[in-house]
Amino acid sequence: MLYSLETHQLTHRFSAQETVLDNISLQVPQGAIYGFLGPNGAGKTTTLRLVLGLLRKQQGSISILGQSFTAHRVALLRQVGSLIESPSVYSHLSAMENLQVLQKLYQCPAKRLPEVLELVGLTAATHKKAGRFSLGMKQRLGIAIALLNNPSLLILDEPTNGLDPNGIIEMRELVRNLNREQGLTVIISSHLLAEVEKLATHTGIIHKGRLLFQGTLDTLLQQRHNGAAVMIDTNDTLRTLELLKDQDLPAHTENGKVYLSGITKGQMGALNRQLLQRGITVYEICRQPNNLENIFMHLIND
Amino acid sequence: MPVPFLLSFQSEWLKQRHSAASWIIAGGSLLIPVLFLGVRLYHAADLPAIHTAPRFWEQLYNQTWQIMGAMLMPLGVIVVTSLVTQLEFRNNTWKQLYTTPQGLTTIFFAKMAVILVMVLQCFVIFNIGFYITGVMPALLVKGVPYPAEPLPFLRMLMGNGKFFIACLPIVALQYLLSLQCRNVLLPIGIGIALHITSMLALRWEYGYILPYIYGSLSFLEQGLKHNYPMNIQLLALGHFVLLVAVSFVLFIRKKDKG
Repeated sequence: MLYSLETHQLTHRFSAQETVLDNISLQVPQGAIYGFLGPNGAGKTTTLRLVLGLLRKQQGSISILGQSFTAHRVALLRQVGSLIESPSVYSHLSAMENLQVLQKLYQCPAKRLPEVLELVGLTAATHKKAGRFSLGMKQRLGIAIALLNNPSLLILDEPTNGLDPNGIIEMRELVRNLNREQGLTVIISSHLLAEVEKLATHTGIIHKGRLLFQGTLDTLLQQRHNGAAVMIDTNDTLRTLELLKDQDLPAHTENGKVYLSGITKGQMGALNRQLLQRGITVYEICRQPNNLENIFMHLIND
Repeated sequence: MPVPFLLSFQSEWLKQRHSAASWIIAGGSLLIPVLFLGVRLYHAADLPAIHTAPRFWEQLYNQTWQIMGAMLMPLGVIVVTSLVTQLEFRNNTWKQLYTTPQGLTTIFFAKMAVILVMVLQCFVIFNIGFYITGVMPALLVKGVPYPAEPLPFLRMLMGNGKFFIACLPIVALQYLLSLQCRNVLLPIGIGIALHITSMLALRWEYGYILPYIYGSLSFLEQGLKHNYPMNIQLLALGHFVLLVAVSFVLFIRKKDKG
């Protein structure tokens, strides 16, 4: 398989005691929308900053579009568009002037400037100073800048920050269209699970600097389907736990309810009968919704 | 293929459009000529004598450059150099710049070239203002003749060249400081403190070790009668080369870029 981005055992320390990334090996297939998911402080931005050369690499290797980033930095940056954290725009310049600054560096045709402004819905603000933009407009301009060079790989770090609900939907559509129509590989980092779930074809989940999962979103959902948590609510939590322990079923309690995972429908029925036989009143047995939020919480709690 | 230096320079130049640094260059360069013109017009009765004086241009040159070269120019260079790099910090654009397809060397020297061209721009505007200060009273006030003496163009050019070289160490050290400091007040504050120190150290025989002293030295060189190890322009150029080298090494070795 061809990978637009591949990192191998990327490790980064801010100090001897503080390892922020621990052997991160990302594999972003060509043409994918890769949702890079993790809570705040998990190491998403640090990873992306390393990938773009904004942080000096300490350990591991990075290759973009099949070539070593260290050896071909300049050539590869010509094919990459990025928006890292807050948008980078010159507030004393207009939207058009901001693009002109970058146009010189990317040597792209002048007609590309209004094109990207239209793509992000900023045509009406072409000559407005960026300093007078709302955060959402700055974010759009940041995306326009990232798209200016017609990149093969687009890296967006928390791109929906500052966007209103309508803006988020438009951004999602824009990314989807770019991916579908131009075959653009997109990496989107986010702590918003719903956002990634709606958009990504592949996902990587990072927590405390470690990559907990990587693969297609379908694989993740399938893997977790079998092991999804089952919640049992009874009038006697202790005796319920004892019964499960007798049957070698690992379980834990949370808010007075018992949670266990990895049981089939048949096992659920048998368990219900046994609980009733022991005189335990069962209020509720249900499988927890199998959404990304649950999967994510499971992964980071494992 | 990396971005050619010229395109990188053009990109940096575009960023200075409507920037504070560009306004300071325009306003600061014209300040002294406008003040001199205002004072001369206010004392219009003295103008015929001044305009017929045998060393008219030399006197005007000495008067204007004394303030400009020793005081305003170093201050202007300190502020402008700091503001040019501050643009990236303030707008959070270093990371954008570092992810463009250009080498770090190109980024470093393109930005510095813009600062140097802005300093040159300041010299050009100042000289236009200087010339206007010389001839304008003849146009505005009846009975005031045009200066009889021709403009000593070559001598002025040499003088300007000396002052430009004197500014180079300031550009280099300010550039170094402002690339390392996120807070613009720090490089400006250090620059002003060093400038004041340099003015106080003018009569010190080893004053030439201070990079900010050369503006004043260019003007007072003969009067001070110090024995410098070499020509002060060469000393200034030496400072410039050394400081640029240090600045460049620190710049490319930065661990966190933007």
